[in-house]
Amino acid sequence: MFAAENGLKGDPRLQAISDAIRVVPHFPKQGIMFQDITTLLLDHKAFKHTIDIFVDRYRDMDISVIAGVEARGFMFGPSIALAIGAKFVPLRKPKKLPGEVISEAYELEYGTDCLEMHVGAVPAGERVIVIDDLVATGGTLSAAIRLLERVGAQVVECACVIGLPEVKGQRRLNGKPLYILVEPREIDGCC
Amino acid sequence: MSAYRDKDPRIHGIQSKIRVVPNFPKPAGIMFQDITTLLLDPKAFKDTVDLFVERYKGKNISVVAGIEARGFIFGPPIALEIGAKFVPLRKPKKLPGRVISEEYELEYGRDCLEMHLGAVEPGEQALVVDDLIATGGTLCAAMKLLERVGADVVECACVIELPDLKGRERLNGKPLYVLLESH
Repeated sequence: MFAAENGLKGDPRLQAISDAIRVVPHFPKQGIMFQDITTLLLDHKAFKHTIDIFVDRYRDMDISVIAGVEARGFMFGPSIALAIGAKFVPLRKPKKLPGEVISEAYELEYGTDCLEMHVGAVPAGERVIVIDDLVATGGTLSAAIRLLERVGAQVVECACVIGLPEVKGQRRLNGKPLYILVEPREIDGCC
Repeated sequence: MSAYRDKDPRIHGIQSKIRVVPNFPKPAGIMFQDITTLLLDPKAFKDTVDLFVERYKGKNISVVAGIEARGFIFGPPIALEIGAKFVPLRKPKKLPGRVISEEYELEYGRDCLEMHLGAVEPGEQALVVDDLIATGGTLCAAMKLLERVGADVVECACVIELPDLKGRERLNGKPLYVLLESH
């Protein structure tokens, strides 16, 4: 569900956030209009608004874990975790985490990839928010949800800055609520 | 320079939360300093960020550059608190826009760090942040990227230093600030 439909309609912060995102055409390949959040990170005010909106939403929801998906989830997750007093748990590509891990495979357009989490990072019963910069098909987020549920954690919501059309109109991903700040930007008069 | 040497009372708590994992990523005696356990302790994680924020707030730093991927965990909270931009320095082909690249030596072979063109303007005062400094190769490449676009690297900041690997000496005289040392 989009923030604008859920209490933040007309909030000028959402426009500032959207305006700060850059669209890079044909990356990583022809036809993909890549939503680049690095320009959001260069805009201190807009970056702070992004974190504040998530913090305001989650601070009173008894959340004990923010799980961030490598690598852009790492840019947003820790600040939210620090503000609400939660742990931050990185969900990583294979072979990056040094300790004992559990792994969850997921489908890519061509082939599969894998997400890993440290064993023992999240005790059973803890309330978790999964964060990433963007949700497209939901494949990566679904893998993240499965990882957390396998250890008995409760995924309360998935949070993303941007939600692509594939998820528009969907309030849930694999039965979990989805909270999104903005839609993708378009380029005017693009090739 | 290190907070460890300054004996800030928060240091002990931070140090106790870092987990050492033997023989990672490969055998032959590497003792990997795992900061993920630090991130599981909200107070110790907050203390870590606070130590850097206290040092850099009000010093006219407009850029915090973080090295992929663990620099992305510490850099943005610092940037937000001191009012600076956050600039991710990434492995090749991850950044979508026009980039500049800097190669650096690994133990075997070479790797490359990239930064978006236009992210940092000439004359900006910058910090480079990563979780750990070992040989200093990656930090050195990061500094070069920033200097190539005309920024002034004020300091490199890491949670942990491995002093035996002498990374500090590879920073071309730039100051290094760490919270902890590990021998």
